[in-house]
Amino acid sequence: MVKNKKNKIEIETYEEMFNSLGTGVIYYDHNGWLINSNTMATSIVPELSSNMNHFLDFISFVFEHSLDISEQTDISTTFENTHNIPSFCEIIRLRDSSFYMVKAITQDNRNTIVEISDISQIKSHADGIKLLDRDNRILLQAIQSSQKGIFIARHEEQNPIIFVNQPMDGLLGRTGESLLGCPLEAFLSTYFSDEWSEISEVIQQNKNGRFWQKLNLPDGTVKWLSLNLSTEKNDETENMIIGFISDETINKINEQHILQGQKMDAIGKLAGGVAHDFNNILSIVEGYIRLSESAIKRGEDVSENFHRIKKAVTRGSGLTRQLLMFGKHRVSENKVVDLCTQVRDVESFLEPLLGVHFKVRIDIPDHPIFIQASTDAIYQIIMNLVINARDAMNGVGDVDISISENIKVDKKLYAVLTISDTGCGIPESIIGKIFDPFFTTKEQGKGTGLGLSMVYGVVKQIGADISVSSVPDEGTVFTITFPIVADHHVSMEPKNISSGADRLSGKTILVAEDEADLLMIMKGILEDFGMKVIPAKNGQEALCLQDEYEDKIDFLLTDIVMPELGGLKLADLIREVRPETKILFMSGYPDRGDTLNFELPRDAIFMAKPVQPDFLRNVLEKVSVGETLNQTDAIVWQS
Amino acid sequence: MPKSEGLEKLKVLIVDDQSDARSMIRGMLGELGITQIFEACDGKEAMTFTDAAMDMIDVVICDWNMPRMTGIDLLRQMRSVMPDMPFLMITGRGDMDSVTAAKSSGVTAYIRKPFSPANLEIKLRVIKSKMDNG
Repeated sequence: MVKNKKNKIEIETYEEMFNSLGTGVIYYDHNGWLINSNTMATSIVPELSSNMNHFLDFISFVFEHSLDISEQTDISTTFENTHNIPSFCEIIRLRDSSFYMVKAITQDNRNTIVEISDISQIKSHADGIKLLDRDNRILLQAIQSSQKGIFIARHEEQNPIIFVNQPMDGLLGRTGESLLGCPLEAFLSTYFSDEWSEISEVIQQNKNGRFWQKLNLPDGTVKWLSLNLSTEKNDETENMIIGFISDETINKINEQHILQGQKMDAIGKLAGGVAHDFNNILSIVEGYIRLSESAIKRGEDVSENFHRIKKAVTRGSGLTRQLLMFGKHRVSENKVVDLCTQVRDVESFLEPLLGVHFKVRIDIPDHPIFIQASTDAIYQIIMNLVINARDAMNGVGDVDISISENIKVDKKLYAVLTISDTGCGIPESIIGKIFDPFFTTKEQGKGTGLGLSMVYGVVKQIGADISVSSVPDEGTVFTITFPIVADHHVSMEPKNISSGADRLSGKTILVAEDEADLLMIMKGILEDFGMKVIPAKNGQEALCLQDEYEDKIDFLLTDIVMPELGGLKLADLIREVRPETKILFMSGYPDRGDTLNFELPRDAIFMAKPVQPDFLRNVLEKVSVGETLNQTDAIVWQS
Repeated sequence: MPKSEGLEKLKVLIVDDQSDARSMIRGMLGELGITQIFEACDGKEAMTFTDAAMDMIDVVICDWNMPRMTGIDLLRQMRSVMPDMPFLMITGRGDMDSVTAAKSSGVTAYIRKPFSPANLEIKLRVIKSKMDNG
């Protein structure tokens, strides 16, 4: 009894334990009949007692709910501690997307115990791991096959590089030791040397930045690299410095093409404008030549006409200089000029330009009015406005030019230049467009549409203002307002041409110029200065002449572009054998952009052709006494 | 000869008894891009060479001071058979007498020791210019 009672208690205990297991357990006998199952088993598989009385039914149930191979997670390691080898082990998914591992163990007595354990949590965790792993692999693959070089450095002292992708070495054209472990500073200061100071600042301040570097590769080619650096510190994640380096050579080339295109476009516009002005000058020169021809026939004095032609030529060379300087985005230098003198200078050009049917009246004060401008600018403004006035008047009319002083609301003194005509006027509908480039009312071929836009550009460039008012059929008035420069003393241009007359006399100058006429002219000018001139038709001849010349040669004045032996080589050689000789270059292309092919030595003195006598004299005098030149005297090379 | 040519195509014979001097001049010529360079260690060898292959030489660069046959001796001999051969004499002496002597014996150009590559280049260009202009 006691034993029975004890047995009963034991059985009850086992049953209680059996039913309170977290794992479902089912027991099939050796014939496959369901003997027992615990509560957990029936709660997982409610169908168990009704239609899974036989093990085979259970097996088909399991396989029906088994996961596809692709969804399987290898979690066998999780169950390594199982002693009995299962007859099968399967993962199933049941209605509520929970996952169970079903393990059937057939024992020695051929009875079968089935364990069903809930692995939903393990599975989702394992899947997470697997997913991360797979993403990582894809990311790494992407990083390695990227065209960019990618590096990661740890944000700590020395910032060691902890990752670098494969394309990096190719990109930098480097071989040998890996960059791994290399301090970021050492790496970037080598490859991005030009911008290193900015880069190090960005790193120190935990900012982001983009940098450029031109890289000269060992094979002689040039590469443009860009570096995108991200060093921002983030509280949540590990702090890293991440850099992307990409080859921007093609983009850079394209960019240069586009810039060049834009520049060409702008130069085209400007050239059009200058050609426009240049034609005016040519017509003035031609006009005075014609006047002189008839004056000579009448036996009259024409020296005044020559004087005017000379002035027009000076203007012309000023214009070409301006055009050439434009290539370097340099504007002709503003200085303090007397507006009244400038306008009087232009006056003499107006008559041949307008012809007899137009009357020009000029009303300007006798005292000088000083403004900040360049003589070329005033000239361009007046010429273009007067031409505009001429074309607005139908073959006959008046042009009035006047200068007055005026105090504006800001209580500053302004010079006001007005140019008015008695022409057709400007319709209100287009008055807002007249300063636009290429806007013209003139018929095809008559006007470029550049005149007024150039005026506008020039006016703005010298810090002046322009306005227009017009009454149809009565005329148009252009008003230009210049700020007046208060200090008149600065403006007195020192014209100390005669002061140093003796500095040059007796000095020897070797001139190499392959343009025969120009050589003749230069020789004449220099001899006028009292200099001894050795003229050479080219570099080769200059070299031979100096070789035969036993005495000191004070100056070499050489053209740059000459056949066979160019000016630069000539200068090199002469500097070697005659170190005391001062060397000056002249060329028709004073702009550095156009002279990229020439490697001018540092401090070389450079003058634009045509070289004006006074200007040349001034430069020679300064050079001979070792005075420093500034850029208005000549271009002093400073590369 | 087209005007645009540089010095590269010049064919030069160096005559000097000192091999160091010859190789120094050869080096300087090499820097000027000249590749066709021949050497003779004395006047006799130079005469033999030019007699046999006058066409292979455009310019003779010769040291004045050599044992047995001096530069002037060589020049005189050479002028008798090749009156137009450009001849650059290297003189160690800068005195006027030597210069006059060199000039009167018909050197095309002379160069004083010591000289730099630029000195040599100038002299060769002067000689070449004289050749080009007949």
